[in-house]
Amino acid sequence: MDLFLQLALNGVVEGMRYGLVALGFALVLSVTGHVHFAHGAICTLAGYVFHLLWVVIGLHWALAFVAAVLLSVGLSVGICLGIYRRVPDGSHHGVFICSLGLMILLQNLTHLLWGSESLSLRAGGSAEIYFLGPTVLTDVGVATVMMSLAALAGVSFLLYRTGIGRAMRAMADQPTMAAVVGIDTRRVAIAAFVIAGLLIAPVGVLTGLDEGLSPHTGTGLILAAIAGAIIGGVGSLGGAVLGGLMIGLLQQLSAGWLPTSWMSSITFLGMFAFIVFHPRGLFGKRMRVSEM
Amino acid sequence: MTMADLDSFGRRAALAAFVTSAAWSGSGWSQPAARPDRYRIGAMLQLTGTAAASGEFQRNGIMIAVEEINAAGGINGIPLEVVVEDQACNPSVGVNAITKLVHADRITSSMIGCSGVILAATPIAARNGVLLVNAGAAAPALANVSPFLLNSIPLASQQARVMVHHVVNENRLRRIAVYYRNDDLGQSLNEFLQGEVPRKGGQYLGGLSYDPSATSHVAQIARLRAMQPEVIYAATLGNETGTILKQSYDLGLRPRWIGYSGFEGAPTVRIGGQAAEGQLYTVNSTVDSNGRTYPEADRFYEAYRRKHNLGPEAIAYIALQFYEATHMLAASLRQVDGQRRAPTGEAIRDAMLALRGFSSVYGPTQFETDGTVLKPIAVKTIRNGQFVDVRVYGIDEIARM
Repeated sequence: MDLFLQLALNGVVEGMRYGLVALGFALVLSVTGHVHFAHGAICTLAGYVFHLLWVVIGLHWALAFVAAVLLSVGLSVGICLGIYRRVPDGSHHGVFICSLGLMILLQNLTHLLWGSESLSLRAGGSAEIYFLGPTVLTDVGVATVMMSLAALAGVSFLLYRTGIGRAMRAMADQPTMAAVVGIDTRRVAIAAFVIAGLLIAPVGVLTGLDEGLSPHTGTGLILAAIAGAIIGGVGSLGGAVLGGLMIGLLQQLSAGWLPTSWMSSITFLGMFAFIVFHPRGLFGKRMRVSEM
Repeated sequence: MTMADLDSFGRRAALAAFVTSAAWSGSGWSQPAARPDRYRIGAMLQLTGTAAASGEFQRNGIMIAVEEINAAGGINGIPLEVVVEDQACNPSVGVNAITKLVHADRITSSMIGCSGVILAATPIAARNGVLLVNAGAAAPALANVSPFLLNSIPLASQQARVMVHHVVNENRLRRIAVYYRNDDLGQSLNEFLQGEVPRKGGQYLGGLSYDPSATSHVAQIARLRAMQPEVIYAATLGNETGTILKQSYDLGLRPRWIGYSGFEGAPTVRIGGQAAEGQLYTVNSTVDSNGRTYPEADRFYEAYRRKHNLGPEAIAYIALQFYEATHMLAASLRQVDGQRRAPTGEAIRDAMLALRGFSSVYGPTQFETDGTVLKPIAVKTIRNGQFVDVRVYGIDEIARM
């Protein structure tokens, strides 16, 4: 029972991290229709920049964090304006290929600048740990859960209570009509990429603090997040977070009874099961962005 | 020609062939082999690919040894030459390298590293009577592979035997779990420990694996905690060791971690931090049981500093291993040359197996008939971020384990 509880708690933490990645990914997908694979590579770069400024140069962690967030937002918007919007006719297929290429390019750039050795943002023994009954949680685990919940609340507030949020919901629901009624679709798309950039930088930093960073860190995260977004229902932000959470729980709980080499495969088995038996995912129909 | 004539002709032909082959093979009736103007050995190194940094150390170690050997008169007055080939730690590149060394360069012995390459190259070497000397890979599967493969470094299973002996008998810790990298080396170490731990009086609690690309170990750590181990044997490599120690410590799982030479590296201390302190591992040691550095090691470090401006702390152990293997091959070639035998792979192997009293940077060395080697093995720990000796086990002690 103790093992089950610990694995479930691990699953919540991992799942919330996937959910945070899936939230930004799903927002961009809903608003612009772009499959933004490079989102994962931006996550990795944000972590590496935080490492450079905090560990190597010795800046205060808050300054390093702000710099990592700024880089992440800048890169997201730069990709949106400099690449995705230049794809002829805004073709989603074209953007899809560009996004994959960007992910590989940014990965290789990270490899070139920092090498293939994994980096750790802090050494063992420096984490605060909390005991919840028979289970253990680290300070990074607590921060991950809190950050994910805060991000979900913040994005929900933005979508419901602000003009730009209403415009995003309109674009997600009827992109052509949104343009016809005078919504500045370019500005709204940029806003979606800004939010995605804001959401992904903390994931890079938290992952670096918890597991360490390698040039491939973001690739694993984005694949799990995409699986989560599909399980949650494409176009549903709440569903993406819930889907990410389910993937985390599925991976961790399966590791309790199956060989751990199955953990990655379990993610995609879960995704395929939804595609075959419940293709709209958990909230794909009833809980679209426009209906949140 | 009758059948009797044919029979008589056949017997004469067989006799002639036997006499000729006996002369060529250097046995009883033969003329002494003509001495070559130089002795050539091969070196299949990982000069490119992901392990290229190791390859440079391998080459440097070999070149220092060759300079020393030739400066001291070579092989009984004949210079030694090394033909270097890249194997990129990639079996298909390795197969090309051994084929070239055998057929184009006509070498009869070669140093080699990287277990996948060794397993791919050995059948080709054996078919052509070429001796391979493994100075770089520690996979237990490299024991007893072929009469033409000798391992000049202790395999990980030998190191694991010493480590288990140490924790069970010296530290009185018995409940041992295994956490291993899901590759050939990790799997074979786990299998070995499954039998070895009970043999030494310990309790094998189970083995869990991790994917080499994994960075999160939290699920496995939860399962390892459920086993309530006193000791966890980590069959890990490079950065992974520090990451695993860190995550285990951070999640409150703090048993004694033990491992093999994969523990020794700056990332273990840098990433592991406090979690790495006090953990134990085994490795070849350049220091004897009295704490004195072997003179050959001092000489090597001095030569390396002179040539490459690097101190002992910055020199990868793989440089010492290939330096030592070059000296071993030279010592064996001296014996073969002294007996006026042709320097075939078989002759060099026989000489190497018969080496007694050979001592180099890692102390006295003695080969076993299964292709493994006995050398002193040190149990080391990490104290204040430094790798320090706890105890050095001599070859007699290891042979008795």
